[in-house]
Amino acid sequence: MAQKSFFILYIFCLLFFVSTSQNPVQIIDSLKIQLNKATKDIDRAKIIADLTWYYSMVNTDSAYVYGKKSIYSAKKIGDSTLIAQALSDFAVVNYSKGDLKTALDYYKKSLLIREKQRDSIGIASLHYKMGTAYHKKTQLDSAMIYYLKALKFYEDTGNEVLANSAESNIGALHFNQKNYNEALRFFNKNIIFFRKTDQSKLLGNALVNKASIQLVMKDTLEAVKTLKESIKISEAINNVETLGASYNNLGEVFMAQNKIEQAKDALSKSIQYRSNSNMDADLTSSKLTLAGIHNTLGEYKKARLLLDEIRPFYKREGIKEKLSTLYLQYITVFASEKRPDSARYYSAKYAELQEEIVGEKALNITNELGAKYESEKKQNEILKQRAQLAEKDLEVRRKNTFIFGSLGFAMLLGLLGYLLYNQQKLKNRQLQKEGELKTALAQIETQNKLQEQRLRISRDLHDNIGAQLTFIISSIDNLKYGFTDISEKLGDKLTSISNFTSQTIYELRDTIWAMNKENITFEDLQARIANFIEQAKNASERTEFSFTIDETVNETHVFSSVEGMNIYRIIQEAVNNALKYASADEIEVNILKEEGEYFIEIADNGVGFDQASIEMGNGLNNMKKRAREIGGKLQIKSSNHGTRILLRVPK
Amino acid sequence: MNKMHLKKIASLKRNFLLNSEQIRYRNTEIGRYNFLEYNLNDALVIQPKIILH
Repeated sequence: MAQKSFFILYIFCLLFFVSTSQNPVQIIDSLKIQLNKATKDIDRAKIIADLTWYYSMVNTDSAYVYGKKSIYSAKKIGDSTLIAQALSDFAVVNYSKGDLKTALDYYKKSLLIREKQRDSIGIASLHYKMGTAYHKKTQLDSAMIYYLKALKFYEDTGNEVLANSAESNIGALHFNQKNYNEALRFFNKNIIFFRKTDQSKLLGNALVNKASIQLVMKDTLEAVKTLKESIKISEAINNVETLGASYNNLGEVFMAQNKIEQAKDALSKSIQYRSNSNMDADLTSSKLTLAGIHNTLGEYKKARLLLDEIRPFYKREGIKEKLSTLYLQYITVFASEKRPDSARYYSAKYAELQEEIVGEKALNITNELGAKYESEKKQNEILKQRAQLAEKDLEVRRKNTFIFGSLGFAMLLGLLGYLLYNQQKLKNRQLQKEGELKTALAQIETQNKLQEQRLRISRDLHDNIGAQLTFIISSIDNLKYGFTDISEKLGDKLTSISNFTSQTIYELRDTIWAMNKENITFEDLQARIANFIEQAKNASERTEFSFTIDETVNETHVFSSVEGMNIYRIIQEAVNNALKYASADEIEVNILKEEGEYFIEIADNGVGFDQASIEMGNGLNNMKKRAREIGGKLQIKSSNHGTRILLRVPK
Repeated sequence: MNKMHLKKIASLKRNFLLNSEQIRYRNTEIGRYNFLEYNLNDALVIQPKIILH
């Protein structure tokens, strides 16, 4: 009896369903033209890599040749990305050829490079492909590990299509491990997603897988429905691989239902589609099933032809179960041909192989149980690790949130503090400025008020006392001229009082002026002295006057108004005395500067006077008093030849 | 606050200028006075009363 082989399709190469919108043969032709034109090594290497890839879909032998060339070209250029790609492509070719060991070796080489490059997308793709290689090699625990790694990446990066593909293969693994319910859960999920996203090829695969589970669960009617749906969808996009699997599985169902002709039709179609695909093992399996159908129908020659065709493959691959079925079919064929020796030979071979298979099965069951246990254990460990990782991740996120939150809060506080500090600083500056201005204003107001006050007093003095003094002078003059019989002595006295009062008026005016004036420049003082001398000249034409200022005197020097006034009055008094009493015909006024002092000299060539014998009159006393007021010294030297008065004023 | 401060500063400066202008004017008039030739009364200029804001 032929053994049932329901095909479970797992999605092998992720790019297959991306790139099949174009015919690979057309692409290959176009690439070959490009290869002939390409001159640069890098361009040629890329084209050869593409050729390897597209050939792997249609012709594994050509793909193998180009794969080798691709590795060589990439290594020649030394581009590690290209080398990794070439190694991966060559592994795909070996996978298609059924050389899974070599395929895995090249996948691992490619993985090493991509891990160095930290190419996470490339790594996930390799994990996925290695999962399929281990899957096909029936190393289910390793397959599960790689599928889960790929699944985690695709889930983390939000790639739903690839995540569903990985889940589809995990479902297939569960199927292989006879976890049918778990497998069905994955396939149903896949069907919903692929239907929603309009992924026809992947939907066809998922339906085939679901049908296989339905068949195992003896739900034949539903399985046929599911397979027919898969066939309909796959025919619409000419998906030969899925069609091959669907018809193969449908043939197996018809066989089980003893619908031999329908089974024959289905298997023939499966072989037809699989001849166009590149999966030798699947094609051979379908042929073996068809050979069994031929035998059942008594078409021994057709059966023999098929068996002879597929025998080298199974011998080479050493697939014992299939080989055993093959021998069994040969026994039937040779029995029908009445060749007892050959039938006996294959009968013995069959018995021998069965013995081996039973032994191996027992071993496999033990190993499988062990593997299943290990796989579950590893899966649990992986799940545990994932949970731990997720927990750690959450913890890190919490910590990060706390740290960043605290930092943000601290920065906010800092910013607020800084703003408040700045605000306060600005306020202080403004207050300081206002304070300074207020102080300055208060000072200037005080100064202004003081000046105003002084002016009022000055006006009062001038208007009242000045007017009264003028009235006194006027009264004395009236008295003198009104009374003609007054004695000469009284007359002189009255004149003296009148002069004294006039002098008082002048001094009052000087005081008022000095009180209101802050200072007087030397230049101003000089002009006033010159002006006075000019008036004196007019008054006494026979007297020679000279006024000299030494070059050492700084004309920009500033005296206080009191200093200026007293210096001027001393000069005025001295000149008046020389004119009045000394009968001088030469009067000199000299100003010079020596060692920080000003020397003001008033000299005449008059009769002079004896300081010891004459009483100091008001004039001399006034001069001395004025000199003292300004911190200066007054020296008087007088002889028969003239008088010299020297005033020293500190600078 | 800043606007109030600027307003206050402007007012203070205005008053300061008013005072200094009055002082300067008086000093000019007194400085111009020749106490021998002219009547002192000319120089004794009393300012109109200062009104501070």
